[in-house]
Amino acid sequence: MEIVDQILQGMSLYFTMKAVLMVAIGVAAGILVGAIPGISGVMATAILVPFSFFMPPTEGIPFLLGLHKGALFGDSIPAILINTPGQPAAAATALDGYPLAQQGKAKSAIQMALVSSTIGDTFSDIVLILAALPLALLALKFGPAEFFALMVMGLTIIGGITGSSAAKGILSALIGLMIGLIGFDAVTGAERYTFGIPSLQGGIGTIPLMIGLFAISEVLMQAEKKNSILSVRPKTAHLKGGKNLELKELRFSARTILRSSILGTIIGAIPGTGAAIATFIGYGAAKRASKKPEEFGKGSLEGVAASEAANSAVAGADLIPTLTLGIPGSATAAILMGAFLAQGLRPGPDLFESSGSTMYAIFALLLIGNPIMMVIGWILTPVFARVVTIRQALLVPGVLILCLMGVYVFQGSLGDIKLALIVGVFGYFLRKVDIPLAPLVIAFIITPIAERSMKQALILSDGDFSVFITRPISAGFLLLAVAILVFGFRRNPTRSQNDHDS
Amino acid sequence: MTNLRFSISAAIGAGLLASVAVAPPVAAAEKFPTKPIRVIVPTGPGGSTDVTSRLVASVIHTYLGQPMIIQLKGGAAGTIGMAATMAAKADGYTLVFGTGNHTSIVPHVRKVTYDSLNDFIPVFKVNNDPYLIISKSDKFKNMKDLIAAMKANPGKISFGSNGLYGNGHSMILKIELDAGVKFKHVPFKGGGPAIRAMLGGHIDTAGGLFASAGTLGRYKRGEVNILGIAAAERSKLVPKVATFREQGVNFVYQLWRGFMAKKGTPQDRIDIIVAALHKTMKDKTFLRLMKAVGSPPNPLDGAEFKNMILAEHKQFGEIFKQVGVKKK
Repeated sequence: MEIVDQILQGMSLYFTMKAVLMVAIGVAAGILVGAIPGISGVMATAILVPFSFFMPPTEGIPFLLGLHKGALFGDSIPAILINTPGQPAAAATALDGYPLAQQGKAKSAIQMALVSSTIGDTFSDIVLILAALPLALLALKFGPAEFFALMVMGLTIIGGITGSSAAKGILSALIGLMIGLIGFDAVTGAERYTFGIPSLQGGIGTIPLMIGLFAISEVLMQAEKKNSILSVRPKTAHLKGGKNLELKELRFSARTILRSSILGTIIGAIPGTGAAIATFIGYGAAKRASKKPEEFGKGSLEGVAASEAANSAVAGADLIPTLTLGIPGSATAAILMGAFLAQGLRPGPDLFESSGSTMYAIFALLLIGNPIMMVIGWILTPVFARVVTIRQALLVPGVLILCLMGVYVFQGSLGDIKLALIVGVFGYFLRKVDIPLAPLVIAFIITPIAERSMKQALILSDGDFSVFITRPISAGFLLLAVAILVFGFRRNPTRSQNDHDS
Repeated sequence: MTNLRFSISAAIGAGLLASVAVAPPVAAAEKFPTKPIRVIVPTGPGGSTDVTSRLVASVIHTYLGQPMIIQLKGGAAGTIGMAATMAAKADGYTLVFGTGNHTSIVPHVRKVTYDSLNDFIPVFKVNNDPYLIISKSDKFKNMKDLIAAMKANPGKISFGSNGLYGNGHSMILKIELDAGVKFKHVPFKGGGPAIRAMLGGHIDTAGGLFASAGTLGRYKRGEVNILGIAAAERSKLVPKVATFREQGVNFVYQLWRGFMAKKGTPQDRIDIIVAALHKTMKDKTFLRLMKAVGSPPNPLDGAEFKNMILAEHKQFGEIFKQVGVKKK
């Protein structure tokens, strides 16, 4: 009966019209700021969180929960419309979203992102409510060896996103791997590829890398076109973003959305793995299982659904280690945790004991936030989709300025702007020779975690490599990685040939 | 994100903060400050230093007459943020909000472009938390227990730190020196992941503060044991936990968070900031927020603050010298 009491108490305190309204304001603010090119969801959260300091907990906490949801979806919008993903997870969305936008289907692409985000988020919220504690305990079983094996499995995703040539895909991944090694080795302290430049000691920042690789190279690609294209409205402008998403398109992707939701929730519950890995794993699995794998990377709505459902499923699951262990699973969760603390809510094992009623109210608000996001997103989508009707001559410089601003504000460093520009020129040349960018990003994200986990595991095992196959979870992931590779090769022996024909 | 390298926009965030926190009119006679004061925080977002600085900024404008704008400049163990403070004018409009890690540990293990003792004026310490060594409650009871186990099984007991030559690593170097033992040191990326690995049974011990991943609550519930507290005296929060000194390790380390100014900043301006900070420390809203965060203010300024930093700097200098750490 105590639980019922707590739920009712929480409801009366937090589940008010005002609280629901604050969720809506948080969602809308998150979408709008997150949709600015160059401002990633993490930054959007960081920018808006200080507002909550001036609200009482009954308003501030709902605002933060809405913000968390909105900012994540907001990221997908520039990725789809102008190929400028602000963070690695959105890079998977851009793989198919941007081709769709260029085909005049911007609106249905954004709507697919919205629907699959909402479903993924709802799914992981329900899992959080029902199984937060058991999942948190399962996540504790992940030690260094398990992290390493999971990362190795993550690397096999690259096989699914190499584009037209396996060799170019592997080359891209190797470049990403090398970039991921820059900086101090976290375990031995050795300095690598820094050339004595202090700002490289901490490694290459994800934000300058992403903005340079995607946004700035895209600006260069656009600028290179004949000025007639720059000054003329885009060909597909008359479509005003195109048609609404059709029910049959959604039904076709239903299995993909469910699969990505499950994968995103499981991977998101393990702190320190993050949305990018979950998203690419979801995308790779969808391509392998799809009835139309050949459309992936060329404008597949299913591809958008796969990455967005996984990405948003991480959002709810991210809160599992944050709320139950008091250990944030991602940068966004870390910022939210700081704000929760300032609201007098102390995430961690004490939470259920000290503020049980608040917890249930949070759960209820998380759930109600999903339909709210659906409605607000649906209303805003036609507005965003009209971006494709803007003249390139106005859009391209605007995007460039916003992106450079985004890079600067993230840690107030001019060095990061230089870095983004250098990476941008580099990305431009990679694209000119048809080297896909997604494998680079995924290898860049995975390498540092994989390397650190491997070294930690080997310190603990006194240098004995068998630790990776004698621990069951670790062995399971490594086996899965081998299976994916073998299965992938057997299924697509003639793939590169087919792609050349198309 | 995997990558807590993600930093954020302090500039925008704090800019918005400032625009919300509309400053009240300044008293007519004061000439300082006449514009917002920029506070450089040399860490990433979401940590205790970032949060503390923002909580100070959310209140101090009432007493200062101008807002404080928090600017995160993380990276390279805080050396970028410290160097950025040195690059600004010594006019009181740029301060740095750092920790003992920035003044007393990092300069011993990294090549830095500044002298953390002589190039900065310690202005005001806001709060501090003693460093702790913890294990699961069924592993060890206290430090004596731990040291005995380490002597019985040399090279077998592991410690997860928040990073190479960070707070936790420095602490175990001193334990190793004083007790004549050797840990299996496993650096993690941040204190949270290290404590998580300890809770999962992957490592034996970890370091942290009362607030790290709910350590105080876990201790009270009997989930973890605090083996020792690196304070001069026992804490009222955990009166049964013995200090490091009581257990034979001569190590005192309170992770403080406080303001420093560039050398040459006029003393009258520092006095105005210190006066406003003292009023902030007594502000009801601020006290409520700091209590919620779990680290109530413990202010210190002037010579006392400076002496504390000097002693701390000397302690770590001796540890790294004995271990033979070279600057990188």
